[in-house]
Amino acid sequence: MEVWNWDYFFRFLIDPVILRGLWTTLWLTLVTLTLAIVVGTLVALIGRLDNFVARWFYAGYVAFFRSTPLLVQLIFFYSALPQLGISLSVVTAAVIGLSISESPYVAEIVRSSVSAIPTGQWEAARALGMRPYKVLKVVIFPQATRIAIPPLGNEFVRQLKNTSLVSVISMQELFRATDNMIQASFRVLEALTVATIYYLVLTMLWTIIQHQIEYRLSEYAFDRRGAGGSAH
Amino acid sequence: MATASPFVSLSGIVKRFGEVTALDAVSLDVQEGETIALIGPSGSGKSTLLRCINGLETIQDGTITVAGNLIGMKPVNGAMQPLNGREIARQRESIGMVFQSFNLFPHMSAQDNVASGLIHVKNEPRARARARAAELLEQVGLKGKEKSYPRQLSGGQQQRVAIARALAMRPGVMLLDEPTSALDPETVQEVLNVVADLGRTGMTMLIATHEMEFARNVSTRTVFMEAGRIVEVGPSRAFFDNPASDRARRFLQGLTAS
Repeated sequence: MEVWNWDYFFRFLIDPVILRGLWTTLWLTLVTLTLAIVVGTLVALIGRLDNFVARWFYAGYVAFFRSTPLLVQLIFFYSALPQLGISLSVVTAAVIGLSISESPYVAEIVRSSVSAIPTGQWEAARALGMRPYKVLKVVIFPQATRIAIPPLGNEFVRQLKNTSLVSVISMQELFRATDNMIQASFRVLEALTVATIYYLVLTMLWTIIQHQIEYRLSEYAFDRRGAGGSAH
Repeated sequence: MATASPFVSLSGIVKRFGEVTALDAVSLDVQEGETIALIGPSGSGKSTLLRCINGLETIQDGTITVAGNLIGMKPVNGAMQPLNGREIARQRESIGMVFQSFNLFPHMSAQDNVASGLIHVKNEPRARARARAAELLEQVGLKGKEKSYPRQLSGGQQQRVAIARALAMRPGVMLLDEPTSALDPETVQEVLNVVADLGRTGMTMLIATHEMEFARNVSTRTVFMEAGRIVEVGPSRAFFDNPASDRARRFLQGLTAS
């Protein structure tokens, strides 16, 4: 067997199975991170309530889902729940497992970003008569988002790589598609190189998008849109 | 005037932070159109008193009414119950607050800061709110700064935006918490001029301040506080020319000596 075969490499690069796996990896990342942001934000807001039960719920939620491995959670949702009479499809188990395991990390990012907004901002918004949800929507979240984007960017990359784990519950994402190629051809090096390249491309695309988002939210961009007005 | 019911009425206010009593049975009546200067050493309770009036602090005892409305609580079956966030928010709409550190929203232009209450509390159409904001910015001498962001403005300019932001809500009373204490000396006067103009329009105001000249010349009455109590209240000229209490006299002498 020769060391490296370009023919296999290019064939894998455009193989429909691999490309479908790539697409699955991409939407799985986007959907589960979005769900994790929604759930994590809600959990973080509950944790901020001035209420004993709410704070314990927050601490318990984060501790529990952060302390158990994603792999264990995935197999639990897919293989253990049926024993309790709850059967989830592969896709449902994968989406729930990836979202839930990611949500405590998002909750901690949201909590710290919101805490970073000075008390004076809350007070100024309240003093105007803004209702509690408007205080969050109009004053706190726009400022907290700017702080949260870099760590959330990290989570996107982590989540992208974590999707490879759903291959163990037979979800046909990029890694499992690659594995199928390997089983059929025994060309491990070429197939894994293709998978690596695609993971790398997705990560690099995201890095560019993240920089764009950060730029748009930056103070510099505020100034640019402000156009005029002297700095002191 | 003496027979009119007070616009702001504080009766036996007690505020504690843990073991510390910040306000100790404070009572004060303010008539409509009055400008009240709150003076006294740091930690005497001036800021806390203002913050209680718009419910940013909850009081342990006493009652506060503004325009006849009980602030922060309501009687339910004969007992007092604290208001929820939505009810307190409604009360704050008609009470303007200006902070020592401005607290402008950094992600909004000066104009959007001023319009924010109209848009997000009064639900006015954006165009109308922003037009009104532009008028108010002109009123506080900031025409041309509509598009500037807070960090592009000097402290005095930021504080004038903050005053315009509070005025936009058409409040019945303005609370100003040491509005010039965080400013460079050269910008203090521009803010005090705006406040003095406001007083002349008949706005009811309570101002915690260390600017004694301003208190003497602009306010109708001066309230001297120490250790959470009101030591002396009097018409401002008379108070500064001839304070009745020893404590106030020593406080004023200490200021001129330094």
